[in-house]
Amino acid sequence: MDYILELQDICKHFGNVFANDHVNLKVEKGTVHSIVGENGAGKTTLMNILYGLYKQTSGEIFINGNKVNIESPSDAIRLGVGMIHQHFKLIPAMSVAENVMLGEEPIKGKLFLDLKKINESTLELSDKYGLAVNPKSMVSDISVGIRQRVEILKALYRNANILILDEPTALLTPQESEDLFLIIERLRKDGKTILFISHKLKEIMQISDNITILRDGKVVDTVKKSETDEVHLARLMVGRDVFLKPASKSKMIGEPILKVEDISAVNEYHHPVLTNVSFEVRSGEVLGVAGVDGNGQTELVRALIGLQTLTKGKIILRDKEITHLSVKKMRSAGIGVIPEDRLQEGLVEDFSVEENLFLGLQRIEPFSNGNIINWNAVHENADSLVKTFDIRTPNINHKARLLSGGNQQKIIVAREIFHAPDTIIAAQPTRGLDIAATDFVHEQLIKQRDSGKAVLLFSLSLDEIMLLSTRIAVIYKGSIVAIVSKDDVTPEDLGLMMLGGSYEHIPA
Amino acid sequence: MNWSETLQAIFNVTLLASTIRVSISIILAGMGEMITERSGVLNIGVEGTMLMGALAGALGSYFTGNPWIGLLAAGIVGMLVGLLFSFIAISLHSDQSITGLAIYLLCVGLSGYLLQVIFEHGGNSPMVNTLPTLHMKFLENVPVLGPIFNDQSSIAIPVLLIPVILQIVFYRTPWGSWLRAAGENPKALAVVGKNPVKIRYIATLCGSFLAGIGGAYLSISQTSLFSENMVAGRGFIALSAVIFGGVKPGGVFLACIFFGFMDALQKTLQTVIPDTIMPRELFMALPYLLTLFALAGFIKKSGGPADIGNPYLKESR
Repeated sequence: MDYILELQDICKHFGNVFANDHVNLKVEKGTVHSIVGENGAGKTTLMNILYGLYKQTSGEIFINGNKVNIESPSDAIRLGVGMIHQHFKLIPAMSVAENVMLGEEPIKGKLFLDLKKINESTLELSDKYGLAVNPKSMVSDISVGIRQRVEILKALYRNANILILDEPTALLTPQESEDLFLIIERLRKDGKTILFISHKLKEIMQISDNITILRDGKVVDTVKKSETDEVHLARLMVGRDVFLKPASKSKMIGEPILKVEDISAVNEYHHPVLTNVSFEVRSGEVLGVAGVDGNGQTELVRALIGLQTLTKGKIILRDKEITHLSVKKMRSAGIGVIPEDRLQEGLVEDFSVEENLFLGLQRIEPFSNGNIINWNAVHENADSLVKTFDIRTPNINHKARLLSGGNQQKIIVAREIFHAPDTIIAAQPTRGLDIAATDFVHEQLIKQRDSGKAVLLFSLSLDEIMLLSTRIAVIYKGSIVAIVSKDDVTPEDLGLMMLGGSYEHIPA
Repeated sequence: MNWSETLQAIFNVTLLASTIRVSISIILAGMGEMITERSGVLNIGVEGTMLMGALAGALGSYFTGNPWIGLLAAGIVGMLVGLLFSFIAISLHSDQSITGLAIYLLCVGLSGYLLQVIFEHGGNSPMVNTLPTLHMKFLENVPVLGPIFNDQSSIAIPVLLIPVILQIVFYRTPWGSWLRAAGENPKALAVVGKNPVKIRYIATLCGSFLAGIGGAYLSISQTSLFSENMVAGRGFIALSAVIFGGVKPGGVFLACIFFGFMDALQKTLQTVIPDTIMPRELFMALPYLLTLFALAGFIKKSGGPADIGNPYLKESR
């Protein structure tokens, strides 16, 4: 069998993190080969290596059987590799055609741009593959779907034979996605090889010839589409070989503490990101929100802490409406949050451990009388939390930046859990943590549950959802498509629902 | 004098000729800064670059007797200042505004110090040879244009052509396309195999070259000596003009001319009505005031480069 592309033992480290760990991949010419995996599985890193944006730590790349050295995107382009990035690399202030030709402009009279040829060549290429773009439109004026086609044109113009599409449907509407699949089919028929990066199983099954599954930077398996199905893929992707014990059952479930009634929100492009979301979290329970990344979880968390503007609906905490309150007021109303992106939103990296342990609480007793900070109380708080939560730091004045990810996470968990009177929102609370730290965070969340707080858990890991939740809400395309009791559902059922599958056969 | 005589004494071709005269240095610095900003680099140290250029121009002319060598020296010294700025702001990813400010302060001190060291007294340099003026016979009998453009500095007309040249370079050449791309989205440029860092360096050096020459115009054309702090805010006016003109050649050019006109008007008013009710300071503040209004939203979208002021980092996750 002739392979157009072969990756051998590719490794990539970022500091201590293994983003890719001995990845092997063989791609047949003229096929659609999907690379699938959860977020952080190393898909994008691998593709960035292939496109020369990162340099692999070790390993070799073969194109058409020849060993190649890809140092930069120019090398990749020369070797016929084109990449359509998840976040488009376009210049809104320029026309479609200018973007397509950027860096490879046709010249006339040695010095000047051949604007006529720029437009004509773009149109020709667009017509050939049925992309229907207007070369003269400004990129700032065209839709996301069309922008993506401009990216495809850029690659085709550079004679790419291998096209990498990095989560191409992430920003597209369903109709736009269908159009894209038609384009991919046309490209494949024309002999192009497509590397399709995704974690959406439905579309993977729709368009792939072969599928390689990555997990934690490693290749789990490569399968033919004809020999697999969504359930099998979901199992490979999520990984069932994690040995964490399920949490004890909720003991005393009380009154609803947090109620979300029919909320909706839109993003900057005015696409709906949350649609009529309703649920309640009761005292003494963990409500797990399961879903594939990008289905509205981030926006929902932001809505609950006052960072996302809602177009309608109500958020009620203990019979008090808190819908349009400021972040500060929502927090003091009783919501604590372990944010998704801990470095950006959970910590001030250059503050000390003790300062981070009372971040946001500076005006609250006992840390201050409202204006003057009581440092003794701050020290005491830090000492006791460091001990209770086993935060490994030389001392409480150590900068948070210098701690490991697990210990940074513990600071946030300690602060939010300790000072949230009613409700804890935990967004990906164990992302990037090792097994021990994960276990610790789980234990703390369950403790809070048992002390009568309401815990809302967002996680991309089905395992985590299954381990901790009392009930599970499945979020898909910004809507809650089902809320089920944990005991009534299997991970496979959840996986299917998360991908928009039907759930009629599941008892309510 | 009655009102109409007064008005005639103020608004005449002399005012327009004077406008061109005082605009040249602002146009040079403004065009330079526009090139720099188009590539995504904000160099607010342009005032300092001009000052060093003014000194280098005077020194070059003084030691060689040839003002053209002074002009070249000014451009080269400008580029050296630009190189220092670029290294700190582009290669070391420092905050561009702070770096620009530091460069400005450095140049103020350094130019004064060098003046003191070289001529052993502060304040002024000795008189130096100046660039020749250009007298065109065929313009002598042309009304309006003749008095405005004749006997200007010999670099005036080439300078007035710069905006036209830049308009072509920006929008009709590949280099201009890459320059704009570097300022809008350097990553987009990097993924097609062009190096945004290189382009930003080149743009900043070109800009600094022009700023240096703009400074020299003051010391070896408009006057015939270097005096401390002689740029007197023209660099900052040029910065304002770039914003006011939407970082586009035509717009920036008109803004430079407009600010030059206000300066000329202010000077004329001083001579015609010695104790004018309009204080000089108000005129001098006008460009900045207008820029504030422009930024506050009178100009809807400045149309400036999207990525201005942001360092470009290659392997960022």
